[in-house]
Amino acid sequence: MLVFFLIPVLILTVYSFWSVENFQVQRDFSFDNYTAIFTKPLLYKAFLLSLRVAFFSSFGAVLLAFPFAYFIAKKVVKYQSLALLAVIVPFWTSFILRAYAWRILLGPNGVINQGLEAAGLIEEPIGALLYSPTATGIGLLYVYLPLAILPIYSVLERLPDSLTEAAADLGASPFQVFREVVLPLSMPGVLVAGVFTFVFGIGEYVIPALLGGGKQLLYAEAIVLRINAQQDWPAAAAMAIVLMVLTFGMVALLGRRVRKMELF
Amino acid sequence: MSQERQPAGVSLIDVTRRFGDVEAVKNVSFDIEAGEFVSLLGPSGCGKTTTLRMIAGFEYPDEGDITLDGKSIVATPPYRRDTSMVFQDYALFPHRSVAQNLAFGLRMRKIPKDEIRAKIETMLELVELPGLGDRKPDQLSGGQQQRVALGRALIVDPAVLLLDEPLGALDLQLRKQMQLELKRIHREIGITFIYVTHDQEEAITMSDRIAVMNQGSVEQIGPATEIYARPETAFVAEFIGDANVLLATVVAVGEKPTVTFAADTLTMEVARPARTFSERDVVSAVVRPENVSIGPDADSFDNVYDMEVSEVIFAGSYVRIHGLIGGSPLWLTTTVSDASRSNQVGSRVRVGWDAGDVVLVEWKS
Ligand SMILES: Nc1ncnc2c1ncn2[C@@H]1O[C@H](COP(=O)(O)OP(=O)(O)O)[C@@H](O)[C@H]1O
Ligand SMILES: [Mg+2]
Repeated sequence: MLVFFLIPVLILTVYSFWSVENFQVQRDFSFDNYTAIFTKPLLYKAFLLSLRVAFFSSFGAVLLAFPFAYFIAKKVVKYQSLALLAVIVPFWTSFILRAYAWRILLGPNGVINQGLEAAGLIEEPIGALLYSPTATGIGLLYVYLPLAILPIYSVLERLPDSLTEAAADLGASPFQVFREVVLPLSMPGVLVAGVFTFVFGIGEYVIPALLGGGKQLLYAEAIVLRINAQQDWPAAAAMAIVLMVLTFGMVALLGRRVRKMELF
Repeated sequence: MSQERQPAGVSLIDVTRRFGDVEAVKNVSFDIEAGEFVSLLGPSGCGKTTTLRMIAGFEYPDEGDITLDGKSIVATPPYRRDTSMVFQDYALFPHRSVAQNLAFGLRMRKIPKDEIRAKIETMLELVELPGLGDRKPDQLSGGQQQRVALGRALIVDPAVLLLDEPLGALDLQLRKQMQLELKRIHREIGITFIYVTHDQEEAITMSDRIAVMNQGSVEQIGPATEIYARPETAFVAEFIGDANVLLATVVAVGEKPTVTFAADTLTMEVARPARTFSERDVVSAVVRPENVSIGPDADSFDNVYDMEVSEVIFAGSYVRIHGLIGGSPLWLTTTVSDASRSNQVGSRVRVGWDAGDVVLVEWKS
């Protein structure tokens, strides 16, 4: 298993120190590919934009996911597995398909525009629904929400009701129960949800392209461009390795934090 | 410990709680005096926890009212009730130390820090855990966790302490020790204790009064001695102590009440029943095994029969003898020396008991 992972990574690492001239790979050694990422405006802007997208999808998804997860874990007693299924099912369909579904909903001839028109609320379709930051935001949250719900659900589901009841019994108001007991004890799940969505978000470019119109270059898209348009494999390799180090670093940190917090 | 709050009485008035089709608590009424130690006793599933949770505020009654100190509390959320609960699984906050667990209720009440610190020290002493304030709950034994749970509930000076089978998870020896300690703490702080248990011995040892519950109803409430001597139902008779419950028919009421039993082949004089029965009523006649005498002495009692011995069981400090009188099974307990005179399986012996030792209750359907 490890071999299948390590060998490509090694090859990638070696590649990342080479360079390209006239579409020919030169087997020399330099850090140029790495310094370029943080000095070329095109690249570092793409990197920063990707960080922003990742931060938004992670923060937004976790914030939205918490009430969903809480509701499923603590309030839905009878139909809990059904509710969980509703969260998981989208995973089984291609997420490109789901992004296209949102295009149909949000597009100029889409369900929302036609509905509003039929209701006489608008006269012309709102073109800005699709290909806007809002559309990107909706799409990102929609795709990342289940990813964030599951880990939070799993910690909340294991949180004994007697703990929240004990807190209330000792005089904690519902808000204090949340702050003093529910939140600290669900932190492992919140962190996992946050890092997962962040890691996915930083490599994201399909949804912004399909729903946001791809007006700004994202980091992952820039990697693809390096390969497809410029045949610059070494530069792409360096960019990929930066991304990988970042995500692995976060996952490793997360692992240590969560293990320290493993409380029950 | 300084006493900041007066103990309060608790009353349930026709309280009913349903879960779907299940009536977990049916029409329960009782009054608990301020400072009393009352046990809710009954088999698993009889509604003890639900009753306690309604007093704490985690469940609401579908019908009826609950009062604390004479004032209705059903609309008061748990965090504003003057009750504290010791949970069956202790429910200690796993992310907090012992001291932080103890401090929780005081922090919620915005008590100053140095006062909290002093109270924690006092409480650690009361529950006999000095020096363990910095431990996390998972670094404590079951018995120690139990004490933390108790201390955490007591530190807020509740008017009523609610305990849901708090010793259920401890081994026998520790349980006996904690029973005594709970009694001591009850004496020292004097607040009302409502104690849920399915263990009759525990209820008898600890309580001023016992409420015996069965299938959602309170069948009888009173001091252990009274419940034992005068059970009001066959269930209570069998649940508290040991009992022969004989199917009997009332044949005479008035000055000398009499019943027949063993398929109407034998008659038995009984004391005047607490509740009134009429002739031909089918009843349960309760006779405690230790009230049955065996051997020649038996002849001096009001009711005397021949018994065919079918089994003699040595049980340590006493002997259990099973047999048949008029075809109806009966068992009794006697001392080892008395038993040696009549321990032949298959032999016929005289058994007898007084009219005053028979309690008539409604036939259990
Ligand atoms: N939250 C609940 N939902 C559904 N049924 C419940 C709930 N709590 C208790 N019950 C039912 O109510 C009855 C009484 O339960 P409980 O009060 O826990 O009994 P006990 O504490 O005496 O064992 C049982 O039949 C139990 O299954
Ligand atoms: Mg119970």
